[in-house]
Amino acid sequence: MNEMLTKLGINWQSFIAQLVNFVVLFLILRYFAWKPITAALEQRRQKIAKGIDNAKRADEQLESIEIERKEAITEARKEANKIIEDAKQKASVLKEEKMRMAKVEIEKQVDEAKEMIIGERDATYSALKNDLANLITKATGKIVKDLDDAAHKKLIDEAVKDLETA
Amino acid sequence: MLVISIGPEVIATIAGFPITNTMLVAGVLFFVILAIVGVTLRRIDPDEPAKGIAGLMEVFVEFFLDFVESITNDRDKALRFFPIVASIFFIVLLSNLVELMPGMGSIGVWGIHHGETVLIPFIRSMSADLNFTFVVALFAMTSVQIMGMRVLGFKGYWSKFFVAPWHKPYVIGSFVGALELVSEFSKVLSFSFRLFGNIFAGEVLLAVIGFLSPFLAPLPFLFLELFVGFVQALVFATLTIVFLNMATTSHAEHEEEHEPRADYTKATFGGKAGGVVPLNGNNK
Repeated sequence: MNEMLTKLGINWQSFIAQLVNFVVLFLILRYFAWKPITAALEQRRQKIAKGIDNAKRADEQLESIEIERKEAITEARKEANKIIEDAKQKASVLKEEKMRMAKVEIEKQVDEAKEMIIGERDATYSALKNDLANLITKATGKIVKDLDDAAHKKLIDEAVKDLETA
Repeated sequence: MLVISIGPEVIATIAGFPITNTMLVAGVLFFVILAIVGVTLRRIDPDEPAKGIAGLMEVFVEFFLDFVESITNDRDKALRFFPIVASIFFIVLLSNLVELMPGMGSIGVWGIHHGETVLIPFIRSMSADLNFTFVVALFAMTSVQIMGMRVLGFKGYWSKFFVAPWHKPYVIGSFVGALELVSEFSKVLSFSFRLFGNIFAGEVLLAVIGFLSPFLAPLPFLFLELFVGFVQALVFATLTIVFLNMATTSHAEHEEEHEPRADYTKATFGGKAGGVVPLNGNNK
């Protein structure tokens, strides 16, 4: 057994040296290489994940803001359109009202004028009638002297009445 | 004359303690790794991408951690195994690559070897020394035992090997357990001889080719040895991961006693739920 080990080059001094060497190296690597590197990598991984997450959230926010903006604009446009429509409607209503009132006014004025004209005409007419009757009375009186005034007048009135009814 | 020796050659003796060439290389490598660790430690910063050696180490850690995770399928386990396995891989890889260093086998002291005066080289890859490979294998298998006991508990771990003959698989269980126990020891041997054999053979191959035709001819063999060195380190590390994974997974039988680790009836196998058929005695 011992001879075989010697032939294979195994001796305890070498073995101990390699063992100590390897274990110390392992401990050094474990605590001064793998630990900080994995920690740093993990930290970086988390940071990157956080960054990506933030970017995603920012994108989402941007998108929602964009949607909100669009909504606001369409809302504003709708509002403006509504206001304009309302104004138009109000204006047309007002116009109609004014027109109607003007028409009424005009009609009233026309009626008044007509009435006035008619009154004037009637007055003129009756005055003319009286004048005419007097004139005729005087004229006929001059022609027909024998007829007394009362009878005369009665005659003329009858004549005038006939004239009117005719 | 070409000197080929299975064991490391003694190049000096200090106070009765023989210094072999592999011990010398191990010492040098120790300081090289120390320097790498020092540089990495100073440059490492989560806020900035590392450059140079630190960046290389980061890449190595990143890749290797993913590699460990791909075998264990468990991030926590991967993080637990990583320091052990990464150290083994890193040290074994560097020591394998020493084999390719110029001056290997040509710079040394004259000494007496088997009664002949020959050149004893200063540089000899640690992996071509059974002492070193045995140490690494012992370290790997000890880690496997410790990790198994840590994860499964002392009783839980050792009940894999010592199965009472009056329990379910009866005598067969006890026999298989005993075989498993023996295989834990044989793994140490297979680990150490695999690495030693490959790297020592590479050294001999390079020495012979270099002896026969010193120019151009060794080139393809240097590439081959570069590849072999990498593959052997990877094989060593991968097997360690696999053994660690096996040691930290309890037997299906013990799952009834402990809390169940996985519901196999819901497992999908080939896209079919419940495709994993429970083995005998596992389904109540």
